Amino acid sequence: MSDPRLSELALDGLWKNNPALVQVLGLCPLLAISNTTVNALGLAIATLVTLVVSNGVVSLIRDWVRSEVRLPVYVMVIASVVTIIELVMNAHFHSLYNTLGIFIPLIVTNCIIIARAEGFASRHGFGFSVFDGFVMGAGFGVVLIALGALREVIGFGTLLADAEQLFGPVALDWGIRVLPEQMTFMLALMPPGAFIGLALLVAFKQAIDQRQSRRARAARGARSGEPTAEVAG
Amino acid sequence: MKGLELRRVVITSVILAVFFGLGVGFVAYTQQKTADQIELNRQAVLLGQIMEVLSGEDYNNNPAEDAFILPNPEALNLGAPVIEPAPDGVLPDRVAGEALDRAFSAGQVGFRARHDGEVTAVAIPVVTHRGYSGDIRLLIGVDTEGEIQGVRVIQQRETPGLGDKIKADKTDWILGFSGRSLGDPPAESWAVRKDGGRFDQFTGATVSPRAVVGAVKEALIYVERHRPELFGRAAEASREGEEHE
Repeated sequence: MSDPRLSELALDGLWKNNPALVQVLGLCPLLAISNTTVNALGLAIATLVTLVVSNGVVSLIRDWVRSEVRLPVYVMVIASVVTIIELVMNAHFHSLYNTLGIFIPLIVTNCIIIARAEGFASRHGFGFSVFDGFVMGAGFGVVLIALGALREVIGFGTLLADAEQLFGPVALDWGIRVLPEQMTFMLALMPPGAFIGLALLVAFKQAIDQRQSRRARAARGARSGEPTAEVAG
Repeated sequence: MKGLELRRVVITSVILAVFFGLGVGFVAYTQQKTADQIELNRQAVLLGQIMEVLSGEDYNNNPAEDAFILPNPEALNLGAPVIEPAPDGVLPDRVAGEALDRAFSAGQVGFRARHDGEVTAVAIPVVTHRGYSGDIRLLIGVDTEGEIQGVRVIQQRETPGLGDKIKADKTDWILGFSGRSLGDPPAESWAVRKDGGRFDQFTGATVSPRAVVGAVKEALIYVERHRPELFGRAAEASREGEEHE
């Protein structure tokens, strides 16, 4: 298979084929853990590291793994990587580990990871696979963090509260109050708030995409001198 | 043809086995490297919680290392006992090793604070099923007089912004238990104000504080019933003294 261009890969992971907004994969951790920025950031980093490492390993072993057993081998690689990350987090970021709880082991079940292992890393070289894991992880992470920030600001009125769980004592006063406590809206913290927040982000992306394609069509139409048909919605 | 197929199956299985071996090896290596640190973290968290509920108490041991198996854990809603008392009704007291480990993982242990060997207070867990969303687990420190030294929420899933005000990092509400005992306020006032008791509820959240007040009361009754097992001989002697007076 021909090698893809890095810029295309990056655009794919971060925008055009964003795992959270377009592929809508990995919703379980996305919705459950995005109630504060710091939780979201913690899970985003853990997912990104898992994607990079599992993509890299799968790419390295792709010539030795026969197609009959490739899925069990990939699942095993992913499970090992996640278990190792879980142990390291338990040892070095203990309070964050306690907050994220069950959602770290559940990274194993995040379909983005097996999807990238099977769909990309098993067919491309090491460098490309690591890069793909990175941009896909970043695309997922950015949405996770955006949703976390949105929900934390609306629900708690703060931003980056409890950052010391992730960054240690230097981060003790990183948390800022954006809204006074009387103005917070608790719905944002509860599961419906997660769905509504994600829906808003998806809609936001769609709006930008549509505006761009309308503009592109208008430009084409102007060149060819034909009226452009507007697509409703 | 058949031989070829068999060869293929064998090679594939070997490949699979090799990768699984490698995976298990890496995980085992990491586990070994991080085990000590994880145990230290667990101890530190536990000690932190115990120190918070024994804040007013004078002790010079490490209560986190002075765990004991709780008698009659059902009274604290901790589930059926995982360690059966001996036929003579005596519970294996400060046993180390497997029995304690089992009680530990079932959450059926308490911790003793001692001053020069004398037990001055205990920290015991209590669970209530009457939370708004799942069980609430508390740790409560009680001294030999039956006075509460502190209460903290160890585990809860109450509604953020409403029920979770029972947590010490959200509001000071739970600090209001310190210094209370079964007689203060009197038993009939051990309830939230809405139920005619002495403890505040929150605007929009009565269920969570009601559950906590109930659980604390249950824990105090438990401590009263099990004084000899919890505090050892010292408490028994002091109670006998009281009876003679």
